[in-house]
Amino acid sequence: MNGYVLAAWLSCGGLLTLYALRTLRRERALRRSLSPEDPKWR
Amino acid sequence: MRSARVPSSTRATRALGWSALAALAVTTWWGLWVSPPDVVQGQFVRMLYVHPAVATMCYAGFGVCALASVAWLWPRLRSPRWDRLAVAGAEVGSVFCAATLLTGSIWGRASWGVWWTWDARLTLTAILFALSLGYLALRRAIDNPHSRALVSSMVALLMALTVIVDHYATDWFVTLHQGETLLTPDPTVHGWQLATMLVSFLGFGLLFAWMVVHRYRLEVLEERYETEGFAFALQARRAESRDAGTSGRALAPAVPAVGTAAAPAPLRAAPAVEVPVR
Repeated sequence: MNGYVLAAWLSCGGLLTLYALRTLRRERALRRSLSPEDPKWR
Repeated sequence: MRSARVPSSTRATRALGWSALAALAVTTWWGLWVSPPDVVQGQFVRMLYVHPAVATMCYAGFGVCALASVAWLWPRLRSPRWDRLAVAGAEVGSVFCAATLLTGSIWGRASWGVWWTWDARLTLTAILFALSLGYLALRRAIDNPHSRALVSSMVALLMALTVIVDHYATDWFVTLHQGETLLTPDPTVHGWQLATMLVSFLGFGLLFAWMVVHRYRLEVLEERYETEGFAFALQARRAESRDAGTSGRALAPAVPAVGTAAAPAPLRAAPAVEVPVR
């Protein structure tokens, strides 16, 4: 496997994964903040 | 008190997310192991299964942003949901644009021997990325929702124009960047290369759709939080104080007790009214 190929795949995958996880984390935090009384999130 | 797991998906978005992961797993398998090396590019052809699809999703993001902005500008269609969709498309598009620049730069170093050159296609993509960051910064700088949507719509149209010029840059200017690979009468890729490339478009396309849906929802939640969040926080702190009071735990009250140094007693008894929270 070529180093440049690996670098391209890993940088792209890393960036997109980080963004996806960050979006999910923000969404969950906001949902939790907006429904503090909802027992399913405790 | 903290939740172990907060659901943030529906059945549809879960299906979309898992489909994207499956398609991207197939892309990785075929792209890195199954597809043979190219006669001209050798192993570097494996970057073909990432870079063009990611660049297309970058264009798609700014395209969604521009179309939603036009819908918002159209008086008959004007609705906050178009503005939300516009920002979702712009943010996801800017992430894919960053990935395009990263993978393109690595491919450039491998093929041309340089990380960067002021080629028309590369320069226009860099301008597009800068414009998208400006779009997102501008939205944070303007508080009034109407003005924010109006000004950002103008920038979205400018981004769409840049996307068109960027796409045709290889035809209109002399560039190092190669031209069309697939959308030509005689495509230059065949067999496993073509199949892997098509699967990569499917995988990144599904991932793009999943990201836009979640980013749209985030925008809805952020708007709700701006109007309701303070009331919820106050309610939660009151409940905590009440619980601490009944269980006998020593917990500082959320709101200072009237008559303390932090909140001196009023000279006149205030009527018990509900204060509208915005």
